[in-house]
Amino acid sequence: MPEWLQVLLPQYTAERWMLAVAMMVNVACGLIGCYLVLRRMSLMGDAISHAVLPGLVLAFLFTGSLNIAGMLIGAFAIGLLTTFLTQALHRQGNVPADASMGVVFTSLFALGVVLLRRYAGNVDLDPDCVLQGQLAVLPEFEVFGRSIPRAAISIGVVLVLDVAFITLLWKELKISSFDPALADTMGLRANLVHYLLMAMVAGTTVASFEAVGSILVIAMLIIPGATAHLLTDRLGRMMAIAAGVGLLSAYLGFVGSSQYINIEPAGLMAAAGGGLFLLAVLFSPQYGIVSTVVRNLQTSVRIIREDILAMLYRMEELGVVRRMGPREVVLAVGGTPAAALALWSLFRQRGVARDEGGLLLTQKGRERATQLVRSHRLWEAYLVEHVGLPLDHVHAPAERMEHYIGPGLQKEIAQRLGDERKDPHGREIP
Amino acid sequence: MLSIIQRQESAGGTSGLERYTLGQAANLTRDDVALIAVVSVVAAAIVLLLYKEFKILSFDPDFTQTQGWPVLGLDLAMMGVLGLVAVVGVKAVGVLLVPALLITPAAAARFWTDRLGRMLWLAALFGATSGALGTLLSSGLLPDMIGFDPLAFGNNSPLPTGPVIVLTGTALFLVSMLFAPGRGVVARILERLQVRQKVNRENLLRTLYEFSEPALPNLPGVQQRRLEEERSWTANQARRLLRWAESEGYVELENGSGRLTNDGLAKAAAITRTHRLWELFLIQGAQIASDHVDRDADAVEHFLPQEMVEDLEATLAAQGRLPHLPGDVPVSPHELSAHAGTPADRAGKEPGDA
Repeated sequence: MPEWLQVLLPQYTAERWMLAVAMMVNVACGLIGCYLVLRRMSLMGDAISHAVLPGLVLAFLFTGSLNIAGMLIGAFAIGLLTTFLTQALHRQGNVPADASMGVVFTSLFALGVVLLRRYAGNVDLDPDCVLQGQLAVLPEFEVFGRSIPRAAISIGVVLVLDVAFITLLWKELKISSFDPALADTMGLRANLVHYLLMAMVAGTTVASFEAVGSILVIAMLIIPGATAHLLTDRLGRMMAIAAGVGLLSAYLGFVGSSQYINIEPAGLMAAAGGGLFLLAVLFSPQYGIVSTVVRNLQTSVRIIREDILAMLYRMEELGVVRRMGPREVVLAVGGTPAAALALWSLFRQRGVARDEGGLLLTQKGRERATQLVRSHRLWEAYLVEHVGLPLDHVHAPAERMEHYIGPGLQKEIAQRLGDERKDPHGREIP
Repeated sequence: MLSIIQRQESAGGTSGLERYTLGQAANLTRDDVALIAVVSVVAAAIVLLLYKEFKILSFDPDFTQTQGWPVLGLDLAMMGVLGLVAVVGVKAVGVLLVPALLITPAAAARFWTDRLGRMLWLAALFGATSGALGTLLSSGLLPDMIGFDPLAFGNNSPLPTGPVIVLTGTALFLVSMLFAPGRGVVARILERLQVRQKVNRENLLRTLYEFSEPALPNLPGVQQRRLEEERSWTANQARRLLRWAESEGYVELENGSGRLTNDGLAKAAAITRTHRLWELFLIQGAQIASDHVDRDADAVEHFLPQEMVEDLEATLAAQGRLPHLPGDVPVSPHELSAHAGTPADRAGKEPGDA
C-alpha cells in the first residue's frame, strides 16, 4: 500500500473497518437522500427513521432474533405502511400533508415503543446506542476466514441495493422528482415510484442505525444532497457530489473523533457534513452568499464605470473646457467606495487618462462612451415615439437601460426608429 | 398550535430508561410538575395576548406585513413559545414524541370547527385529555379505579407513559377524523350518498318527462325496463326510485311501468327545463360539443341555485335564445305554451300554476 494512503488511513484493521462502514453508510444515505431533498420531503426522512421502530420490533418478534435480514424486511414493510397511511390521512381524511405525516410517524413510533416494552422487554436498548450508534463496537462475522463486522455486510448490501435501485429506476425517479404529473402522463407511475423510494429510505435508515444511530441518520440523509444541490444543477453530478460529501464527512468525523476528541464519531460526522454544507452556502459559485455579494459588487462597479465614461463624453460634447479631477469625478457618481473602485478600474483598462488639467477620455474610452450615449438616446427616442412616455420621464429609464443594450439591440431599435438622428431632447444620436 | 400539557400524576412506572428519548412522565418530581405548570401558564398567556396577531400571521403573512405588523418579531414569538412548550414536553414524553403532542390534538380539533378560537380550546382539551388518560392507562391504576382492565393485557407491568399518551391522542384523532360532523369521513360519505340519491331521483323524473314528451298532454306509462336501459340502472335501483316517486305522489305505478301524475309532471318539467337551459348554455355559451353536453348538464343542473336559473333565462331571452326547442315547451306544457319565452311570466309563477 502506498505510503500516502497508509498515513491517511487509520492504523488498525478494526478501525479501518469502522471507517469503511461509516463511509458506506454516508454514501448510501446521501445518494438516496438526494431524492428526498429534490422532492422537498426531507422531513419524511426523519419521519420514516422513527416510524420504522414497530417494524423492527415486529420483525424481532417474528424471527426471534436481531437478524438483519428480518430487520430490513420489517423496515421495508413499515416504510410502505407509513407512506400509505400518510397518503390515506391526507387524501381521504382531508388532513394537511405535513400534519398527516406528523400524526402517522409519531403514532407508529409510540406504538413501537409500547410493543418493545411489552413484548420484547429484555432486549438491550441502550439510549446512547439508539441515538448515536455504536461504531466502535460492531459485532463481527467470519467470512472467508476474515473477521468482518456484521454492520459492514448489512450496509454493504443496502448500498448495493440503493445503487441498483437508483440505476434501474434512474429515468423514473428523475422525472417523477421534477414533474410528477408529467411522469404520470408518460405512464411512469409516479405514485409507485414514491412508495418504492420510501421503502428504500426505510431500509437504508435501518441498516444505518447500528452505525450512526437513529437521529443522526437524518443528517446523513439530507446534508449531502442539500450541499450538492447548491453546487450543481445536474442530477448526475449532484449524486456524485453527494457521495463525495458523504465520504468526506465520514472521513473527517472519524479521524477527528479518534484523534482529538473522545466521542462517538457519528456526531462529528454530522458536524463535518454541516461544515461542508456551510461552505457550500457561502462559496457555491452560483448560489453562494459570498459569490452573490461579489457578483453584485462587480455589476455595481461596471455600471459606475460606464456612468463615468458617459459623463465625460457629454462634457466633451458640450465643449466644457474645465476638466474634472479624479476626486470630483468620484463624487459626481456617488462618492462611494465602489465609485472609487470604478475609477481605478477605468484607469487600469485605459479608458481614461490623466494630465495636469484633469481627466480625459482615451480613444478606447471614447468609443465605449459613444456606444453608451447612443444606446441612451436611442432608448429615449424609442420610449417617446413607440411607448408614448412624456419627455421628462425618459431620461431616468434610459440611464438604467443604457448599460444593458448591446449592439444587436441597438440595431433593432435604430431600425424601428427609421433614420432618426436626434433624440427627443434635440441632441444628436452618435 | 399549542397544546397545553396537563399536569400528570406521578405513578410508579418505567424506571430510568431513555429519559431523554422517551420522557419520564412517570418519574416527575413535584418541582418538575410545578415547572411544567408555570410554563404552560406562560405559554397560554402569550398565545391569548397575541391571539389576533398570530391569527393573521398564520392565515395571511403577506397581509400581515402590509398592515405593518412586525412579522419577524411575531414569528420569533411564536417559535419561542413553541420552543418553550417543546422543551417542557421533552420531560413528559421525550424528544421523539413531542411532535405528537404538538400536532395530533390540533389536527384532531381541526375536524370539529372552522373557527380558530374554538380550535385552540378543543386542542387544549384533547391534549389534556390524552395526557390524563394516557397516564392513567399506562400506570396500571385504571383497572383499580374502574374495576376492569380495558386494555386486557396479560401481565400487568406498567407501560411507558409517553408513548401511551401519544397513542391516546392518536385515538382521539382517529375518532375525530371519522366521526366529526361535517368534516369527518363518515359525514362526508353520508353527504355524498345523499347527493347521489338526489341526483338519481331527479334523473328519474326527467327521464320520465322525456319519454312522456312526445305524447303530451297525455301522460303515458313508461316501462321500468326502459328506464333501466336509458339510465343504466339495475332493476333494484329502478324499482326503489319508482317507489320513492310514488310515495311522493309524482308517479303512479301499474304493472311494472310508471306514469307521471300532474304533480310529477310539473316537477319533472321544471327539472327538465333547468337541464335544457344549462345544455343550451354550454353549447352556445361555453361551446362544448353537443354530444358532450348531456353528461355535463347532468352533473351541474342539480346544483343550480334559483337565482342562477333566472339569470340564465334572462340572458338567453335577451338574446332571443330562451329555449323554444322544436315542438317542445320546457315548462308546464299546458297553459304556459302561449307565454313561453318571457322570463317575467315565468318568474312569478310556480310551474303548474294556472
